[in-house]
Amino acid sequence: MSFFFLSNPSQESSIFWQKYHFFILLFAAVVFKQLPLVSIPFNWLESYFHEISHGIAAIFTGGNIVRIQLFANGAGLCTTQGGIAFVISFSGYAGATLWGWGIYKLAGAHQRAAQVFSVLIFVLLVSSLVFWGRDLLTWFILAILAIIFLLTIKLQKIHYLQRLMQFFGLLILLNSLSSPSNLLDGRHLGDGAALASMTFVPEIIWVLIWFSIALLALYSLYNTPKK
Amino acid sequence: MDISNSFSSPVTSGISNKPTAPIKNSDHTAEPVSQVEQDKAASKQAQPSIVIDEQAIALFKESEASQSTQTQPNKEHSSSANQDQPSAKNETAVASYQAVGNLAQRESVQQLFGVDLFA
Repeated sequence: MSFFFLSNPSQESSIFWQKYHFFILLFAAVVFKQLPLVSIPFNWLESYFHEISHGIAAIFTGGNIVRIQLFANGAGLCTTQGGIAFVISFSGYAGATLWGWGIYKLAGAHQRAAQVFSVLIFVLLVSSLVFWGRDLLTWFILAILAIIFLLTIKLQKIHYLQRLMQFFGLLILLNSLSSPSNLLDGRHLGDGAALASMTFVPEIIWVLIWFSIALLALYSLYNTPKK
Repeated sequence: MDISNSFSSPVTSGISNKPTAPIKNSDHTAEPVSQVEQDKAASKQAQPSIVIDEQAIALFKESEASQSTQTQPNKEHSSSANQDQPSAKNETAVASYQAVGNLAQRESVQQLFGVDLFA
């Protein structure tokens, strides 16, 4: 019945957006992920944040990044030297989740924060291209990702930048929610297998931990106060 | 190979020449036939089963002699090389000396390639 009391339709749509914008963006991200061609660069985005998380963990634990490789199918490799292998292995999926959560959260917090954060990601992408990219395909993928972030920075209306960054954040989060399940292929390869061989804790436990972290991050974003 | 050829040719020629004479007397009696057979058997016994071709043997000896002259210089070389080779004791000493010398280099290479891959 409240329909009759709201005289302004734009005001009504704004209230609807404020109430459901998380679900709208989540639905858009789920649909977007199913699209055959346009979703590919965003798979690269998740792959990049996964690999850079390995690299950052290596740097924080006293090692360094030797090389980052990205592949067209969304796979990636991070070659590190030194550091604590357990932390580096664990931080791939957990880090990608953290990146997705952080991008969404910061973009929603403040317009200026969204702008600064997208500039920071652009700088990180360019530095990765210069310092850790060693092959043509990786350079190409990193260049595409850098261009995407450059375009978001150039957006005239910062409100759209905020929504776009939140959309990217959700895409990364959705990928990090689904991609650990790819490890359960019976081949004993990847981060889960590496952690299992280090700790004697089965691979499935690590997959469940990463899945739970991503689910918690999604729930935390859902509970974020609406603005 | 030459020897086998020289063996076969005289034997066959001996057999092929023999039957021509008795065939002419074939319309008389059966006796000459038996005589022919006896002659054949006699000729077989008289003729040696292996015919030695002197020429082939000479050729074989010649080739053997040439082969032996070709291999002899190599033998001399190898024996001289063996004389120059250091003893096993010296070899291990040199190897251990070189290993100590390469330790630092090996460590730096291990550091360079001691990388981890994360997918």
